[in-house]
This record gives sequence, structure tokens and C-alpha cells, in this order.
Amino acid sequence: MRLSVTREGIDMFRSILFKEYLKIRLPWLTLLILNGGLMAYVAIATRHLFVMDHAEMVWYQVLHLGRIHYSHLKYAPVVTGLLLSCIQYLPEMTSERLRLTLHLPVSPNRLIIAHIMVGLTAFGLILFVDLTALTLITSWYFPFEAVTTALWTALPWAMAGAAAYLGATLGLLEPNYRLKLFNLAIAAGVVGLYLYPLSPGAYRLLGFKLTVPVLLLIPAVLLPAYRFRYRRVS
Amino acid sequence: MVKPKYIIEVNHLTHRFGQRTIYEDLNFSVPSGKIFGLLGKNGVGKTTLIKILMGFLRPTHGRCTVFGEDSHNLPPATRARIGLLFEGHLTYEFMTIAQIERFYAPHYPKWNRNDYYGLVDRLGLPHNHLIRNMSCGQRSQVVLGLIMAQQPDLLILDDYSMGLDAGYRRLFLDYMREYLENGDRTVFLTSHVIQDMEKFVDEVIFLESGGRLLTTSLDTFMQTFRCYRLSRNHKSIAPAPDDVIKNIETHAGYWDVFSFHDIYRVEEKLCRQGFNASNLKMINMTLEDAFIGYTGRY
Repeated sequence: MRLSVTREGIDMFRSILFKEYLKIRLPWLTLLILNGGLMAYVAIATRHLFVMDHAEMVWYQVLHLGRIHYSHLKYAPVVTGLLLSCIQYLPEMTSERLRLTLHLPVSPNRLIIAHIMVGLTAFGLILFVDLTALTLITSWYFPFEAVTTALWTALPWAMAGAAAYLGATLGLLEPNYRLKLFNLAIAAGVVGLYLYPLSPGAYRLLGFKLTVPVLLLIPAVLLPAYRFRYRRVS
Repeated sequence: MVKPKYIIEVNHLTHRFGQRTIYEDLNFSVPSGKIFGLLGKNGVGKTTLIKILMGFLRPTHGRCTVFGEDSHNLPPATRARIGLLFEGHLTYEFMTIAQIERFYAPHYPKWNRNDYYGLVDRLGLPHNHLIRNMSCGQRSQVVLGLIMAQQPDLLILDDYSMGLDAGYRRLFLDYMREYLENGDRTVFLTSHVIQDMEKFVDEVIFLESGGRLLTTSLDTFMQTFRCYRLSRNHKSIAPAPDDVIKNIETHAGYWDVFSFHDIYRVEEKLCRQGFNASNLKMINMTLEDAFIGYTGRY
């Protein structure tokens, strides 16, 4: 697939961005506010730790015993990713409205990639707010070491959210129910990988490799989209 | 650009949903510049055929081409030449009148926003009016305006009349007629409202269950297809259709016998089946009567 940047390509992307913006802006804003509310709760809960115990005890628990003071955040990206996919693709799958977009004189692959880019950007903005808030909260009460550990702990959760978004998209676009379930099972496996309980910050050893399963899910979405468009595999 | 002789060609098309055969060896072609009406009862596969033509369904066997390209692999440049109205005037209802125009416009090089607003402004609605708050008839005008603005060479209209009252149907066809006066465009449409077709289409394709097909001009069909009324007397078993009798409709005191043959030939056939056909008389038909006579009631 050639993804050269041409005037037509930019116009196409702007057009899809415009449509998606109109479709998801209000539900997206709601998700953003809910995530903001959750981070406010994390801030209050963290403060509560210091109210209930001596500061040195809290530091000891967090820095040495690996207590996660932001554990409420763990499943938020997954729920956000799932909801965002539903917000974006359920209206398209109702009466198969996606056919309207797929009839446009543009390659279906480009159209689907444009949709996914918009969705991942919308998801990324919410997660950016979450992780920024986590950084601020953690740096307010703890040393820098705790901030990096918190980010390396929360980053796989964010990846799980992206995998949940892409996995739900895989399931929603696939027209065959058996393959739909198969796709959802694969996606659940990828999400599970990212949520596997390890000691805080353990994923830092993986570095960039952490993103590989999510990056693989992006082209995977093209197949169900192709099957939806042409109702065939070959 | 090389212009193929036929805009749409369907060759030996077979399609099945599981064990159910929708078509078997379907063949027809649509020449350039004509208005073709695809008529048939519910469930004969009109929408399925349009989905196949637009590449949204893969046929079991056979080949369909649009502008000479395989329908399951239409390149973007060819899709730009096709204005497609989806069944139920499907559109993005979360957009306003202006937003949907802004969404479609960049994709079509020949886009003419005057065609869109010329039609939509007749609704008297502000441009920030949401499509979801429109009636079905108003939505049909928006969808038609979008198709017209594309300047397509081929318009495929899948059940344009669905949900429209008589006024909106007339409006839709009047706009369409005006639009088609300018340019050599081909139209392929389906509809349940047969009487609307009478003054609009050049040719009709009657599609029956199993994929039996009759392609004819409306004039020829109306001149050659006839209805004869036969008193039932006391006989309760209806005549059987055969090579002369196309269809029989049973009513309280009579049978309507439909045929492409003259009264003498039908009379002879009925006599052979043991009916007294001396009182057989020809009945005038509207297009809808003829359509029902041809395809049969449910």
C-alpha cells in the first residue's frame, strides 16, 4: 500500500478528520471529562495516603514495596479504548453506513487507515491527559524515581487501551460472526499481555518493543475492513 | 476516456445465500444514456444486485462490469463516476446540510455545489439544520443533491421511493428529469412504486424470484402484455400457467389471465385445459396492474 502525501491524500484525510470530529466530539469530550475525574480521584487518594500515614511510611510502601498509588487507572485506558471504538464505528455499522465512506473514490485501505489514525489520536489525547496528570500527582508527592516507575507502569496500561481500541475495531468491522469472535479473542489476548501483573516499572526493560503488538494490530484492521467492503478474503 | 458500449454488463451471474439461490445465470446489459428501471417484488434480489454491482457483495459465479471494470474491483476513478443512492436514503445523520456537503466535496473533481444547494435550498431549511432532524422526504432531497453535485455519469438509485409520500416522489423524479436533460447520463434504479416508472424510465427489467428476467421497453411491454378476464362459473381449480399463459390471478368471481399472446391463442389454451373461454374478454391495465400480472401477487 502506497501512502504518499499528495494534495488528494491531504484533502481525503481532512475530510475524514472532519467527519470523525463531528461524530465523536461530544462523546470524546465526555470520555475526557471522565478520565479527568478519575485522575482527580487518584490525586485525592494519593493525598489520603499521606493523611492516613507518615510520609516516610508512604514513601517506603511506594518506592520499596512497590505499592501502586494510582491503581484505579489500570483499566481506564481499556474502557476508554473500547468505548472510543464503539463511538466511532457503531454509527458506521448501523445500517452499514460505512458503505457511504467506502464508496468514495479513494482506496479503502487509505480510508480505513485515516479512520484509525483519527481514533488513535483521539485516544492518545485522553491518555496524554491521564499520564500528564499522573506525572504531576506523582512528582508532587514523590521523588523523580517514582515518576519514571509510575509512567513505565502506566504505559503498558495505555498500550492495553490502544489494543482494546484496535481489537474492538477489528470485531466491529468484521462481517462474519465467527471471525468477529476470533478477532475479539486475539485482541483480548493482546490486551491481557499488557495487563499482566508485574512489579511496578518492570516493562521498562522492553522499551520500544512494548509497542509492537499494538503496531501489528493496525494493519490487521485492514483485513476485516476489506472483507466488509468486498465481502471476501481473496 | 474510452466509453464502453454498455455502462453495466451482467454475464452469467449466479448468486446464492447459503442454499437459497437468488439468481441463476442472470444476463443483461445497460447501454449508455438510458434510464433503466429494475422492477421486482420484495425479496427477488434487487438490492443484492446493486450491492454486487457496487462491489459490496461477491457473486457466487459470473461477471459484472461497470464502465468496463469488474464490479468487485472498481478503481477510485470509476467510483467517482458513479452516484450511488443507498436504500433508505442512507446518509450521515449527525451532519448538517452544510457539513455533509463539505465532507463529500473534496472527493469529487467535478463537484458542483450549486447543484446541491440549488436543490436543498428549496427545502427552506437553514444550512446548519441537522439531517437527523429531517423528515424522510427532506433527507431524500439532501441525498439527491449530493449525488447531483458529484456530476456522475451513472446514477444508481436503490429504492429511491422508500418512505416518500406521493409529493416527494414526484419532486424527486421532477428534479431528476431536469438534471438528466443536461448531459449524457445513465440511470439504473429500483423502486416499489411502479406507477412512477411509467413516465420516467426508458427500459425496464422485470426480475422474478430465481432470477428470471425480462428486459423490455415500457411501451413494448404495455402493448404486448395483456390481461384477459375469465368467469369462474363453478370451477374452483384455476387454469395452469404454461408457455402461453404467463400468470393467473384468482378473484372471487373470475380469474385474470395474463399473457403475451392474443385472445385467440389464450382462448385455445384455456379450452385445452377444459375451461369454457367463450366469455373471455380483454381488460385494460395500468403499469402497476401489468407488473402485478407479470410477477404475480404474493
